[in-house]
Amino acid sequence: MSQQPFQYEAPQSLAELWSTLDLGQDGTRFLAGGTDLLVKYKRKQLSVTRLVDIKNIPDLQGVWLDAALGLRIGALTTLTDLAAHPLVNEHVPVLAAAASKMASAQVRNRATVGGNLCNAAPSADLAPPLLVLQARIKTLSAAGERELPLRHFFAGPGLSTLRPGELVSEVILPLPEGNTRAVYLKQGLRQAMDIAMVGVAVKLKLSGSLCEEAAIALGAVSPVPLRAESAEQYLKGRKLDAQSIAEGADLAAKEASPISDVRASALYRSQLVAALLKQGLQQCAGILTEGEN
Amino acid sequence: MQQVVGKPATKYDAFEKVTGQAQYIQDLTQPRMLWGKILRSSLPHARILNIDTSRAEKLPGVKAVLTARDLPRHKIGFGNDNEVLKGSKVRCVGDEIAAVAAVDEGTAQEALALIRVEFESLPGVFEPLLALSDPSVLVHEEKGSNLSISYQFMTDEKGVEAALDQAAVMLEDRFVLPFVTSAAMGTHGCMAAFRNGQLTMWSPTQVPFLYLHELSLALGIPGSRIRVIQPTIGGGFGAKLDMYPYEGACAHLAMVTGQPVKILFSREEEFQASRPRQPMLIDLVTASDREGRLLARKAKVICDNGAYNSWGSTTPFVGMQTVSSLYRVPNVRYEAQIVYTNNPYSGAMRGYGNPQHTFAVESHMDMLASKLGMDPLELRLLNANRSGDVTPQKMQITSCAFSETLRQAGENLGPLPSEQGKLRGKGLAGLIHVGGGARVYRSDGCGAVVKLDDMGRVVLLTGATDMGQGSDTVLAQIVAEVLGVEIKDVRIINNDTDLTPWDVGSHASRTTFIAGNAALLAAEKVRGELIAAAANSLQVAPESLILRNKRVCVDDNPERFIDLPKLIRSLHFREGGKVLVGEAFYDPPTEMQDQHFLGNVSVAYAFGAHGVEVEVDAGTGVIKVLGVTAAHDLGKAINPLGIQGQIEGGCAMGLGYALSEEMKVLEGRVINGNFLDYRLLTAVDVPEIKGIPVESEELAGPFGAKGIGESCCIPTAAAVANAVYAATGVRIKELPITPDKVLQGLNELRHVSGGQVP
Ligand SMILES: Cc1cc2nc3c(=O)[nH]c(=O)nc-3n(C[C@H](O)[C@H](O)[C@H](O)COP(=O)(O)OP(=O)(O)OC[C@H]3O[C@@H](n4cnc5c(N)ncnc54)[C@H](O)[C@@H]3O)c2cc1C
Repeated sequence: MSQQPFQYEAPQSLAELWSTLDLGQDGTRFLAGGTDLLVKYKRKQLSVTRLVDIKNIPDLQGVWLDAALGLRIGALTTLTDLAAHPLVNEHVPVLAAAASKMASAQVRNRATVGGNLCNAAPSADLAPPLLVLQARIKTLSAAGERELPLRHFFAGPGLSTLRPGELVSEVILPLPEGNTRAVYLKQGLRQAMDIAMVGVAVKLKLSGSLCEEAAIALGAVSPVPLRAESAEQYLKGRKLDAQSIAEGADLAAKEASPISDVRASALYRSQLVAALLKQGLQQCAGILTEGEN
Repeated sequence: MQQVVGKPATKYDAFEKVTGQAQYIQDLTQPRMLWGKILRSSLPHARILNIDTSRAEKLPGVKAVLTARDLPRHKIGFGNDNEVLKGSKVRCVGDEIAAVAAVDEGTAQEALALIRVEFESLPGVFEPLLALSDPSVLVHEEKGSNLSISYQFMTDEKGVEAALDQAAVMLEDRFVLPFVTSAAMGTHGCMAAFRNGQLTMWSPTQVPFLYLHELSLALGIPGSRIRVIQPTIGGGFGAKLDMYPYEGACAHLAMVTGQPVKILFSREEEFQASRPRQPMLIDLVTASDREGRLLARKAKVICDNGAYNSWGSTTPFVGMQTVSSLYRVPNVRYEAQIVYTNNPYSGAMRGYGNPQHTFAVESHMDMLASKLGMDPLELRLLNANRSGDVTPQKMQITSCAFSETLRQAGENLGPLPSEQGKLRGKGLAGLIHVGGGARVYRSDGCGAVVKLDDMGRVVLLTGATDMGQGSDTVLAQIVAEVLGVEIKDVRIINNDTDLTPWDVGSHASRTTFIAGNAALLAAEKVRGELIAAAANSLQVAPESLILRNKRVCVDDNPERFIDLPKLIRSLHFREGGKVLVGEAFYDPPTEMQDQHFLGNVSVAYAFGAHGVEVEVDAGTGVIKVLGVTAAHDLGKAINPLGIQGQIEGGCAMGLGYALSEEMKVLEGRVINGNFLDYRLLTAVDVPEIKGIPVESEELAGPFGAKGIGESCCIPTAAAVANAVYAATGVRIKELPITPDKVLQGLNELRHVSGGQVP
């Protein structure tokens, strides 16, 4: 209310965006769905002198399949569209499922994929599934394009490796090989409108009960969403049974470095990592055995 | 046969609420209205050394800046320990320091930022136990200690000790209850205007007449020059029982500017500066004989009062009743201490202390059953109150279907079969609450006026406040029933102290009972006049007439009738004509408790029981509530649809208290004052709630009804705790029952039993 006024612009194209603005300036923010940005602004956690609304830029929209590269998801794709999109549901159903568990219908209608990643909350629900899906991020700036793996994108709570004036244009997903299954398990204190106390994504490539490859990502238990590499390595090449699942789960819990906050204690978060991962591994293994028979 | 009473009725104000026509305080405005804002303390405890308002005063658009210097130094609040604006010391975060009125909200906000307050920060005290034991930090120095009020009730002391000596089983446990807040959709706000030397105050208070009185004391204006108008109220839940300091400030701003002023709470203010439910520590002792008959109960209760008293400081009245009178227990000792701290100050949220006490008492009933190896339902039935009982506090139980509600809610208790990795169980908890008013003030009355006009329109003027609970609908049903008209023919006016007769307010689940009786009496007076006039005009005996379908007709010959409007006009438009108005004041035949807390405060008592089924995930400790059965002895369901609404809302509130809600306060500051981190349950978290009205036909109630408003949120948390125990063997004695606590409990059991628990 009594906050400093800011300048608002809504460029209609990338060309207009680059031509009219000096984006390197401090206090310049991109606005997508605004479901993180406006909340932070109102709570005075963010200073804004210039707000650049990117919602009208066509180049940042759409979901399409690229034979060579995989599935490409425009940064402005809303969570509602992500959850419903046929290509997403066909190739990476885990992502659609994760999106549908987020926030509420009203928020999902506005919130975008790019915003969820760029906001860089350790608890961002799209991060763990995208990490196990080996997502790459495509960025754009006046200086040109670049591409980087999602695991190099997060730099700390609320921090990404984006450079000033750079924006995310799309998320690129290699198509998962056959025999792989992935799940995302999120635990909050209620079943909707909640930020994860812990989020765990698992992707397994199985041959029978043998785990050929495992990808595990954890949310809300470290400064950035992270891959649980020692658990992944442990499970790789191992038969999935009660013992290896328990061991893998414990290893992942050790990789987490959670904090205690208003949502959960550090101890409970660690325990939750193990419990959710156990469920996740069981579910992936179960689904696969069913599928194979 | 009743035509209207007992039939599901759509809420009186449903249409205007769902279409957005209802006018809440947020919607109201006045010509030339200014916006007021309050500068609140950011420190929990500090001396105010200096307040410099000069820069704020110079800001264009600012019309007034007030501090304590500008106001009469009237003490306000329950126990007179508070002030409208604090001049020398702040005692909690959110304490009111200055008030600003400006041409718009933004300017008022900006002006706040220009006020410079020099503080000398003082150490604070945030734990009531510490506040009692260590007098080095005094919230109110002049009181010499942090003890605000203490309550003590005791049956014969030797009897208590003897009973404890004899007991076959004795349990002793501490139960811990957190801050929760009602999170009403309608945040606080008020609007004040001075015209013609009269103050009009628009406020969503739930007790307009007591509010008017408090406001008059706070301002030093005679009550006869204050008019209180209530806009549509977006939920009260007890938080709107108190007259708030900001409301006094708003009136002063209107006075000095000569312009109407409105102040609205932001949601953040609502969390920090409205009245939450008290945190309590309850040390409870329960003793029984070998058969499970209760012999004695002892409770020592510490309540976190926060920085000032409010009506909330009187909640031990009700908590004491639960300890002494929920189930038959001959020997009782109850002590409560209301302790000042530098926390937000607590109010009397729905249940008035009863949810806290019932959590302790009903957890103990279950623990007692398991200790005795008894069925938890059998134990309760054995001890349940019955009609004709007089409890140790001299409460006279009239209608009572407690056992019936326990049976209805208590089917299939205990552990239940479940799939691998999940643990299921069902728990039960009962309740007692006042159901026929509560004499906590020298009058527990309500006035009503029923008037009929020449178009046959019926108007009920009542003092009773509907803050969303649906009492207007019930009152309209009662009047419609008596006068033989439809609900839509009855108009209710209940929001203007210039028009409405006195009422003590909407609290203690009293409105249906007290205001219902008043409306019934007033309507019957009018009915008597109508019958007499119709008997005269139809030339039949009055006893043969009934009122139905807006007619007065002969009972056994419905062809002989006279239309109501016609009858009224015949009375009205003639020489020596009259208007049809009936008035009544119903003040129940009850007594205030004496200094020993003895006395029958209510004409009738409400009973009920909740059965809750849960499924606990053995790996994560996450609790899923599968269903709630809520059986309530409410005398008579005047509006069964409204009852279902109250039960569902009450259970949702009770489940939140049980599982997810906690207002976290760190050094006096609310740290989760938003709806993301203050977790009200959402529609997907709340399971099917089966409400079962049990009708015990209370003779003193209107059409047999008793109160239900608070009852339906009281036993839920205890029932959840008992269900979690049934499912897992883990006994949680501290709310909320988070997955974290359940998992630690499961891990301890696993440790003890060497991995027997799944
Ligand atoms: C009630 C509520 C519930 C929520 N529940 C969840 C939940 O369950 N799970 C969850 O993970 N999150 C949740 N959120 C957070 C939020 O909705 C999501 O993170 C959402 O995806 C953010 O997207 P947005 O488009 O609204 O981002 P915005 O608020 O528009 O932007 C967020 C940040 O990213 C930057 N940004 C946005 N797009 C780009 C881009 N293309 N390139 C560069 N920078 C960009 C903005 O400048 C800003 O700093 C919730 C939020 C609310 C208000």
